[in-house]
Amino acid sequence: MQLQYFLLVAAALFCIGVYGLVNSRNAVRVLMSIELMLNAVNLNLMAFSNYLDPQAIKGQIFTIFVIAIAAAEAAVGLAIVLAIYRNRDTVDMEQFNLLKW
Amino acid sequence: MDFASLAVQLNAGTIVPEAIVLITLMTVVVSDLIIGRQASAQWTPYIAIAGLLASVVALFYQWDVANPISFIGEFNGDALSVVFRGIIALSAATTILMSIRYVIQSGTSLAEFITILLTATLGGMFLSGSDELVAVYVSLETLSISSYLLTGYTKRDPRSNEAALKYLLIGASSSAIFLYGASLLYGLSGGETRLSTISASIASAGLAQSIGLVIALVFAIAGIAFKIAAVPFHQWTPDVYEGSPTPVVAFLSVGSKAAGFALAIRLLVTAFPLVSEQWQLVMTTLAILSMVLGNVVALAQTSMKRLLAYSSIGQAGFVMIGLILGTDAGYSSMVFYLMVYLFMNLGAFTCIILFTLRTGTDQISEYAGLYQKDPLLTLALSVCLLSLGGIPPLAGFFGKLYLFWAGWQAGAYPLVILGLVTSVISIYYYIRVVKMMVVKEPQEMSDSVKNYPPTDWTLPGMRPLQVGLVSALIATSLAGIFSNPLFTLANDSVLKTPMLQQALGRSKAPIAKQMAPTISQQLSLQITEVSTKKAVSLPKSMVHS
Repeated sequence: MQLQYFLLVAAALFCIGVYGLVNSRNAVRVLMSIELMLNAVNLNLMAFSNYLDPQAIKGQIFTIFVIAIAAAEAAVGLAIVLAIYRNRDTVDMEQFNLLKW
Repeated sequence: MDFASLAVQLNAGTIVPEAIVLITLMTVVVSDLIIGRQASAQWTPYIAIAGLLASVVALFYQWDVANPISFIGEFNGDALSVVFRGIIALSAATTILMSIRYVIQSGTSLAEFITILLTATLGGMFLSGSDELVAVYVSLETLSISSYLLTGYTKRDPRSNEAALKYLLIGASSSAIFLYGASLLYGLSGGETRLSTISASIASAGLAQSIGLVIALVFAIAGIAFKIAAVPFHQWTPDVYEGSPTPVVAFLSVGSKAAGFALAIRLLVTAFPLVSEQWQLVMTTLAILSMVLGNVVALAQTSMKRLLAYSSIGQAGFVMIGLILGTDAGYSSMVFYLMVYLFMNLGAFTCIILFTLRTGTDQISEYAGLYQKDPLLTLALSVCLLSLGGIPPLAGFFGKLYLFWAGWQAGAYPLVILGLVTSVISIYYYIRVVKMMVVKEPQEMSDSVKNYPPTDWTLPGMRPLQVGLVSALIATSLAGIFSNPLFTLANDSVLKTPMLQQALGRSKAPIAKQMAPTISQQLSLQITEVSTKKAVSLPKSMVHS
């Protein structure tokens, strides 16, 4: 297996994440798209770490940090989605227009 | 290995200021749990302020530390980081001063607010000194996640919810993009995560001209530009500023932004010297867009918080001029401007909070005739806004003067001229507010001002607000006249930072670099002369405007 296959998969995953981010109307789906982007980064880091840095494996350590922080971010994100659902009875991004651009 | 020798080996002394903030944070949480919400609101804010001031004092002792690199290269406590950490800690302390009454009146828990704010401060302080990709990411997210929580702190207010959701979604995606750039950097450098070694190993691998490095740069700039709210990564700013609690906005506009600039300097200078022309080009574009769009759109705003949001975008554009120049004077003018910006912007926010607490609105038209009812508030808000606009002899004038002077010396004429034009535009919208407050006749008063309640400073939390207001007023009006210590501080922070000196040795502006120290001394001398002359005319110029 060559390094570039992993990088291609990661890039594709990242692009899917960006697509989902731009096109989702549901706030939870937007959060999921962000998770996809972070996982693309994790794949990237793991691939680089295996192929280029097998001794120090800094990339794998980095991945652990990314996973932990992504979990924190998802927790905060879902808490905010919950709060907004209680107040507005919807999680549709198009409905959140109290603040004008 | 025992703890003491481990601490010595890791050079843990450099993070004493952060440790003080952390201990303060734990004290606030635990004491709130033990003595209960009502009793703890009496004194937890003061513990937090004392802790933050102690941390600033500890930073003072970090100034001349012999070996700033600690935790095996994770953290670099050089002079530049010390200044930025000081700015962040001071902005948090002022934010707590102004938030006490606001949080009490909004009926939420004060200790929790302070805990989250201190966490954000901790993240920002670590971010200013992080010298390694993992540390950068972790501290960036500590700052960001606690900012999201602060933004949504008044959880029964749908506007606050909406601001928090928008901030979270845009922030999380921009940090994911930043992280993708970081992973590319890790790969291109063949497995290096320390910023200082990344560029060397990319160069030795012969990848200095590779497209991958440019992609990594663009992704990293997207993350940074989000934090400093540069156009076109600014869309969250007006919404978040309008929706979130005002003290939070004050912290975001100063503390969080200063942390973003610290990250920008460190990352761009140490990790991307190979593509310095490209990043200077990108940052120039961002600076031009920010100055133009921020200042022009601010003209059309009717809400005070949105006005300050767009004004802060414009101010970020001015500060970016200093970053682009790549000279000693450029960096130190940037630091100087941020120090001045701390006083004047927080002062303006303190005034807005006070007005909102009295009247419950932040519409600009509601400020009409305020001078008749509350001269102190009018004076403070006028001074802060005029200083933001850059009217001499207030602090903001000297900040802008130094920035534009540094730009002129380095030959960035178009940028400086654009900066001058846009700051003239900005004076227009600041003065519009001042005129609204001062000039209107009693019969033109707005309804909120007609029903303005008499000042009662004895309510809980009002006294700290008054202290914050008066000290911001004094600092803004005097920091310009007595700006020499701040000048020296800003200049020394750049001259004592090995990372910048090393980069400047390689940079393409040798003339400006050699002349910078002497010229900045001359400039500060001239400024002292000008300011002593202008000092007398301060009240007059304010009344006329």
